[in-house]
Amino acid sequence: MNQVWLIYTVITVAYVVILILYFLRRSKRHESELAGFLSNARTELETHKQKATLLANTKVAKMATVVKNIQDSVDKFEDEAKGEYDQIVADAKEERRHIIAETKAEIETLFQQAEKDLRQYRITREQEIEANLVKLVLAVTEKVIETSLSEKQHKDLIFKALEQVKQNKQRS
Amino acid sequence: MKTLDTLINNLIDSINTSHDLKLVSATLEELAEKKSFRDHASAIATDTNLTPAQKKTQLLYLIRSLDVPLLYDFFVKELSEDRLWLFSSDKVDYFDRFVRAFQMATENMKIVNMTTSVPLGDADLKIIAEDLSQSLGAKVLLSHEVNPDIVGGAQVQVENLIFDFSIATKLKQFGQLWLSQINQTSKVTGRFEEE
Repeated sequence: MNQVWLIYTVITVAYVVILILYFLRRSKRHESELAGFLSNARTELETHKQKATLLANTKVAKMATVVKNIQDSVDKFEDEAKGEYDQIVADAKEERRHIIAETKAEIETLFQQAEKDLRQYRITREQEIEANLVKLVLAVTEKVIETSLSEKQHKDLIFKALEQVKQNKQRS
Repeated sequence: MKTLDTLINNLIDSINTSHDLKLVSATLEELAEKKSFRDHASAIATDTNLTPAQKKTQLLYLIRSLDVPLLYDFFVKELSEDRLWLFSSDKVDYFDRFVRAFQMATENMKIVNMTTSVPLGDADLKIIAEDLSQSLGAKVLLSHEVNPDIVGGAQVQVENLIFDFSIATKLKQFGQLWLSQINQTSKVTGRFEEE
């Protein structure tokens, strides 16, 4: 009986050892497979990563190109705008210079005309004053003569005038 | 008998102004057209019952209403010299002939317009009219106006000629000459301009 137990026991222990070995071996193979899988996965991941990087780089490059184009366009537009702005400013300056020159010329002309008018006005006023002065002197002279002439002097003047009339009539 | 022409000359000699001529002419015309005056005057002049002195008195009474002293004086003078026939219209209408001859004689007179600054008396006007008559060779009648504005001297118009020898005109000419001299001097020397 004891032998049978012992045989059973030895067989069981051997079976367990065999199982343990089997499982160990299998575990190693699984580990190896897992390592291979992991390795493949890593490789694929790396590949994908490289592809993704490449794609991303391509997209980035495209984007960079687009951005660069946009930047160029913006720069060009800025240049054009600056050029136009400069041209406008230059035109405005030229126009301002022209306007200022014209205005100065007009002002100069107006000043000259005003001076001429003023001079003429002064001459006219002076002539009027002279004429009024002469009139005044003559009016005073008239009054003085009128009041100072005696009746006899009046008659003498009349007869003298008649003498001149006779002389002129004879000549004509 | 003094001729009609002499009477007319006497009357014309006494007229020195156009104003007097108008008055005398109009009055004579009126008397010539007034038949009652002429008949009455003629009746007195030709009345044989009246003495010359009575005729003069009555004729003087008849013309007393004449408001032209010059004409009245002329008739008085003629009557005082016994020229009563002037009013007779018995055979010849002397008065009418006298008036007509007078009107014709006035057509040859020259009217001289004269303006003075002071009024002149009749004596002065007579002297002037006679003087001008002698000078112009025709009886001159003065049309005299007084204008104190001419100050002195006289302005005279003979026919279409005007002679202005008034003080006012001389002063005006002097003023114009004065002003033209000022302008001429200004042109030559320029005007003073204050800086």
